[in-house]
Amino acid sequence: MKKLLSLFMTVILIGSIIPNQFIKANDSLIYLESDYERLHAVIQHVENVLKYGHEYNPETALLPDAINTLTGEPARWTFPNRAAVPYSNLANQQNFYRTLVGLSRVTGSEKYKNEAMDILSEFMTNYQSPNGLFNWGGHRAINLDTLEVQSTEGPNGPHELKNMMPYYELMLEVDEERTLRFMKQLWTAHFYWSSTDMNRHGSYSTAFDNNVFGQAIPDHVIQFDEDGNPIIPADSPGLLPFVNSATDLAYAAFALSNHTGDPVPALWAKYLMTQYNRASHPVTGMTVYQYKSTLVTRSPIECADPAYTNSGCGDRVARQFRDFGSIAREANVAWKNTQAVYVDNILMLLEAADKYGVTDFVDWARQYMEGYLEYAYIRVDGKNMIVPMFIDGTITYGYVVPQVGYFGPSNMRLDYVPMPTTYLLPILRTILQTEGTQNQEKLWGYFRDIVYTYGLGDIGEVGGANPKLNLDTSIDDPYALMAMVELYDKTKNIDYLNVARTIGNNIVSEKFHRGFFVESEIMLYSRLDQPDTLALLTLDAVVRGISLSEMPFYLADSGYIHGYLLADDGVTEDRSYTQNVIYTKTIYD
Amino acid sequence: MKKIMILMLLIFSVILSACQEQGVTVEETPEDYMCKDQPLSESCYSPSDDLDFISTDPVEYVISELFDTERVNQSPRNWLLYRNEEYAIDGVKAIITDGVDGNRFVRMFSDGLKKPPHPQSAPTPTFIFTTKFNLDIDRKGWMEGSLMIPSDVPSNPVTLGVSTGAVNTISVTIGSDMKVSVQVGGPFYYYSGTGDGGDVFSTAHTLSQDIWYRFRLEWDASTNNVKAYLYVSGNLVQLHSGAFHISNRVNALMSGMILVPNVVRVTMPRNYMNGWAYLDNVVVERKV
Repeated sequence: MKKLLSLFMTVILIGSIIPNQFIKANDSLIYLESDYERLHAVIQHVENVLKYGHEYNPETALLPDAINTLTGEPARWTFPNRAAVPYSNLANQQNFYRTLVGLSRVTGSEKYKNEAMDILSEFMTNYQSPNGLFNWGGHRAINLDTLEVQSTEGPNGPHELKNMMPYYELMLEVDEERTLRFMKQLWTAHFYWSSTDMNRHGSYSTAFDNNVFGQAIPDHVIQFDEDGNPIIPADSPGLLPFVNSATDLAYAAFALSNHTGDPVPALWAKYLMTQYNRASHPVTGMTVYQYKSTLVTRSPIECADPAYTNSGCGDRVARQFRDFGSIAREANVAWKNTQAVYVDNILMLLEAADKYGVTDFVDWARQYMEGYLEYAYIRVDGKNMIVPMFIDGTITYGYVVPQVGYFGPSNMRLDYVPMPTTYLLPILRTILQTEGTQNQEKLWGYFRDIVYTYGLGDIGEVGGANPKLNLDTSIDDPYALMAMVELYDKTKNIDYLNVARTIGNNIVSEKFHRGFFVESEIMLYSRLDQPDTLALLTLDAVVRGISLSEMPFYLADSGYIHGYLLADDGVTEDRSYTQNVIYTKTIYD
Repeated sequence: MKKIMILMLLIFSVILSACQEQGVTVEETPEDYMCKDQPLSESCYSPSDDLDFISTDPVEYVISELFDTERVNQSPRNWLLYRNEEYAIDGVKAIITDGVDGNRFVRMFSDGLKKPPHPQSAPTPTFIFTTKFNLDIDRKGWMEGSLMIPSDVPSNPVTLGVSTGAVNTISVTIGSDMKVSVQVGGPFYYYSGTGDGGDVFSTAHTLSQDIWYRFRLEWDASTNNVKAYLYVSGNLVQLHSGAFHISNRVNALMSGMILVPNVVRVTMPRNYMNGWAYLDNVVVERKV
């Protein structure tokens, strides 16, 4: 009895003396000075991007992909002959346009959205190819010196989108006709109707076809053998139907159907994504990077050199990892390109399920994520890691690669791969969109472990009960921030929001330097596509009581340019990516 | 005991409720921060300071690499020798050596087996030995360097030239037959997709082993001219004079601005043969 009374007294005392500083009487949240400090940093960043971005060439509204935070100048792509080109690639700026629209939403000023619309309008008017494709993506940009199209491949570099997922809602608002034309031509240029091949490269010479979705949907590419295993055809002549390009095709088709009311493009999108689902492993549930292997088209003499990694020499994993037998195919690798398969792909599937009613996609997302986490996720030395393996669960950890090839140099030892925080959103969104607590439990368990290992504390039980979060976390990660904001939005448990505020404050203190958001204080370039500002705005919106459905939604941060360039020593030619060569530069380089 | 506890509970409850009431009267009503609804107003938003100006003008510098002050058996300090994971440990070497007259020079070795991964399908060399200079404001200059092919060890063809980044501007090659040729432009695979390897000009000169030969290369963007010379008995003998190759132009168009060289480059081919060549006295100077 004594104990009961003491407990009762304690409860009364605690309840009486702890005021809730963050909630008003009407249950709305109090907007704190620290909330505004974060918003202030976002405004300064945006204003500086607009100021310095427009300053470089006043003849255009286009902005560079990244800004040098010491000089205010655009980032430049340096070709092997050291021609340094300031580039504007709108496929790589989509998070900035989402940020501009989000900033208008939270500030109540239309000027930022108008900026986004002006830039998109100039781009769509002047840089749409006659066949409907925009001059953007992995191999093309606009040269801010000449305002001409600049290819980083040959003079006629192909069209390529890989998980760039353009901000179609805004593009449709800016120029409906050109946007619809692009969405259709994306399929005409990349999908081969006669052979059901898909090519991540699309030609700017392919004629526009207004009736692009007019053909009957064919039989599935992926058939099954007598044991129920998917048969992945090796008949693709170097076209490489990567899932990260399929994601963009599907996203465009869903957006097209949603806008026009014509259901056919969405059916094609589902057909395409179904091939990856059918090719996924029947036991583990893990899915594939591509649904076809490549046909050998090059001569044996050319292909005798393992350093010659042209896909015309056949499946590049089969060449380099032949010790592993038939599972060793590019499609089946589960330690490289996993961001494309298990992050960007999942986010698109869930977006399609949420916005366009493709509810099967939630089940697929759950299958892929559960399989991947069950087999490949491991905690090593207090860190979230991935065990390198093929999708059937065959582990490649510790394997020393005997010869050079597409996947790296000889004598490379395959090790655990760090799991980036980008995995938080696809796991969480899959859970939140899955019906029934019992169906959520498995993923929630992994999510709970992963979040804890990242240092955010315990998120509690399924549905958000009894969390014991680390309110003083040092994490400064935009994906962790968006995850906590979305958890709060779903559960209304204030603890998630308080952690989100801490993460948001950390992002500003650790990443906001010289008037820009950068990866860290010493990094030279501020990328327009970085997700930090959009994440901070979603937090600001939630504190203001603005629904997340009214805010631009984060989908991807995958923009890049790929091509031939001068390597970092400035004397050799290489073929690489902006992310590896340009955005790794520090203020000391 | 029970009664005492209940009594205490009642007393505490009364006190606490009084405290709460008192708290309501003194505690301020929580309010939003003043900038919530006017985030862009002058009283709230302050633009950041301008970035400190850092000049983006090029800083010119020339080189004089005599190698006499370098350490024997070490690689020269200002030079970069390319290698990657596939190269054998001693697959390429560039080491300072004392000559019989006390003159130090660079002994260069290549096993001719490996090469950079890019450009694929191009005759990319195994041995790539470089140093940098900058004459981007003058846009003209000259480079001189001495080469020797030894006879007491296996030898290799060797090329000495100036490059814009990774692309050849003009170079001279002593071939395996000791004949001298000049190459202008290329390799140029990154952009044209045409397999453009530059223009090669053979000469009438056949050299001898164990003799130092001194070459001179000149460039002048204002006249669109590149030249190659060989010193013969102290006199300059012209090997080639012509226009910059298209690979030294922005966007590889004839109308593109000429990109002037900034790299001295010595290469030996991927020919699957072990071999040596020697280098000395590399100078880059302004052209008057």
